[in-house]
Amino acid sequence: MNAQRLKKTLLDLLAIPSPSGFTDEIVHYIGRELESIGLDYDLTRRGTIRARLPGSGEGPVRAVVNHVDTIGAMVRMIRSDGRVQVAPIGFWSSRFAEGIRVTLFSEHRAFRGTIMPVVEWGVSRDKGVESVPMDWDHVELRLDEAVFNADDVRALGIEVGDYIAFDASAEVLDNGFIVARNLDNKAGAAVVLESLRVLHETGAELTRDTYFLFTVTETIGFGAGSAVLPEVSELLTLDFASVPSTEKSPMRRVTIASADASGPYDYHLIANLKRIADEHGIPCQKKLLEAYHSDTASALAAGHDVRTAVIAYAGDAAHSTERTHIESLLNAGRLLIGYVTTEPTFAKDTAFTSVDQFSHQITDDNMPPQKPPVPASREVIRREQSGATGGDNKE
Amino acid sequence: MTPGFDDPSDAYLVERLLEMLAIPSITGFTDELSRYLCAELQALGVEFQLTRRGSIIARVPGKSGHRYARAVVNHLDTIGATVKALKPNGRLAIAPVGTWSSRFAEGGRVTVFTSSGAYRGQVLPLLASGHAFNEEVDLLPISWNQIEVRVNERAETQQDLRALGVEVGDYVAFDADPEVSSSGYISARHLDNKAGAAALLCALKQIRQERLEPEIDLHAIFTVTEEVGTGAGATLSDRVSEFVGIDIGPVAPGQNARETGVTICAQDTSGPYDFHLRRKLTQLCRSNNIPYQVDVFRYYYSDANSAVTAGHDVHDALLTFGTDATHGYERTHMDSLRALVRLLVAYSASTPVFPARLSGRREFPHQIESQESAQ
Repeated sequence: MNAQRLKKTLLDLLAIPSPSGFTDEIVHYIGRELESIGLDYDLTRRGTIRARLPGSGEGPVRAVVNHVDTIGAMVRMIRSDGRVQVAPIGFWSSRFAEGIRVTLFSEHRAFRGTIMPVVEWGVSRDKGVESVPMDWDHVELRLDEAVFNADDVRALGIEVGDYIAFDASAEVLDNGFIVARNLDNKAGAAVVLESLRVLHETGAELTRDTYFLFTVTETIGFGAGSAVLPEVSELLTLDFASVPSTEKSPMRRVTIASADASGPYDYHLIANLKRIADEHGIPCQKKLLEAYHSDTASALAAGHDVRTAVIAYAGDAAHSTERTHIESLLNAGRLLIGYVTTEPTFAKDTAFTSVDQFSHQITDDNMPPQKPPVPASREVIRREQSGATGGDNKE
Repeated sequence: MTPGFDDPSDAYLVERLLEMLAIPSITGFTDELSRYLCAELQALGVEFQLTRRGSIIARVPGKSGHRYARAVVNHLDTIGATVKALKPNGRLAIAPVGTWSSRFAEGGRVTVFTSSGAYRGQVLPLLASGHAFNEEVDLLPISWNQIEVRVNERAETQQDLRALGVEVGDYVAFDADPEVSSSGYISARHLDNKAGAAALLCALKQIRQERLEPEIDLHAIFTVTEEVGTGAGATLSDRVSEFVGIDIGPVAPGQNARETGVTICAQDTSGPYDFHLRRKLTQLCRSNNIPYQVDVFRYYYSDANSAVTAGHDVHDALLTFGTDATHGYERTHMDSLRALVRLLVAYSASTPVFPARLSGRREFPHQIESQESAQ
């Protein structure tokens, strides 16, 4: 893995606005990158990218999924004072929108502005700011244009439904920290692209055919639904996850999700990933991600019979000013490469197989006896009575 | 019934609407309305298929040479209720079907459909008499647990209800109480989405009668479980590349929707609709002088959500008729339904957003032009 190249890709991706529904440009960027590596891919109507890399072995096909759409906002009302009310795209708090510089894309051109709390500036301003509730009804977009009423705004060609993209304001520090908005999941996309480059350059052999999917509607809950084919047996998502960073693991580790808000991930695939991480000496932890959804949920909701897992690079403050660390991104890439170059979880993993070929989760070894052997009361009492009486049997 | 509209197209639309409003069609209890639609489609000479659950997929063939089809999708089911318990006082506790407030159920006249016959009744708050409870009536919370159905039969005990054949799970349909004003306003429950169905029928009639051959195959789909979130899942063929939903648009303070013109939804609870298809539809409105506005719906799902969740790779859009007080005492205007019909006809004659499957990135669209960047 080339850390410099990964960072450059990430900064490129962060520079391209891609709120869900407004992802065409980032699709072109990823497409160009894949072309430069020499990979074939196809696109769904909506723009999900699907590249298929051939593997050496026959049998189940794998998919590695990451999303390139981000949170953002949309014009929902043009107010009579020339300010613009906005609705969130994706699920996030207006608290993290306040003060952020944005670009509004109207049909013919783009405009700059800032998201502000709705405060009657100049009128008891000192008290007003603290008492403004924190929700999307109490923030507004101040356009950097000479607009003083709704007609001024409309005259610029701005309409309800226009997309608003938030500046990433990326900072890459020498100590390895990377701070930006929308790291979720552009950092993941940068990791996947870097992993693909490394696979290509080293000529590493994939053990099975593997799809690499870049989805465009994860943030609103759809994502992988239409892009997974019936031949896929394993689906591994790479995404952002907020994990507490401790002194022992300063944002280095990769998280393997055991479960999230849509339930537990596949038992066997998780075990396989843990094994691969250990073999390659990649620091990792298993973690239950609460209040978390990923593209795997949308694949299952669409009715696909796939084993699913999520690996996540270390993140802080999801959907706010996010932060990750280059070491964690590199480790996520190593695990990804380890995964596609290792044998699949099950060599034959076809649906509707007979039960003798089906997996086990409990064996004789790991099943404790349900009850410890308990001596029968009658026996104990008889023994005790015979012993206590010193063999004096009164019967 | 004479709706009082001279224009034959208006008269057709209003007659269909009033007939559909007369047929109860709570989600899960939609067979009769499906049959009604089938009869109407037959009368128009449109071929159709039914799914197991009763969704209707009607097909109007387009000009040859296109691999893809487009779907205009509309739901037939409405909100309503089911019997939750037979109460000791001879009244019925009910549970909502679909998401709506019991505030709007109070006072509603209902029909309870049992396996041994239908009974009439009315929904009342638990404290229903001012003479008996005075100000306590005003303090009663608004909740489905605070209302009950008074059946207009001799039923004073749970036993009486059983004897009538009322069972837990029986459907409770609310009267639509439609009123068509000469000003063009239409007030009724369940305009969501029977007004949409009437508009789609009206557009199909025009397409058939004027022999307007659609540009590509047009699938007119009537779904039956939208109100519970699963409407369109099983109704789309892989050929469908564009999905245009037709549904109700909430008119309220803070919303841009109006009871005039078409209201095009840019985003709802399940996220933004397709950028390119929406832009195509707004351009169609402008080039055909159809009044429209764009809005963002805050607490709203449509059948597009169930289609995309089911894994369909479609460009989706939502066209609505602006309606005041949705899922309550709904009111729309003929003007928005007329505009919707015109847009549907214009849309069927228009070329697809993208002519065929995109074969590669070079055919894939753009959203930002490089000269457009503001920074």
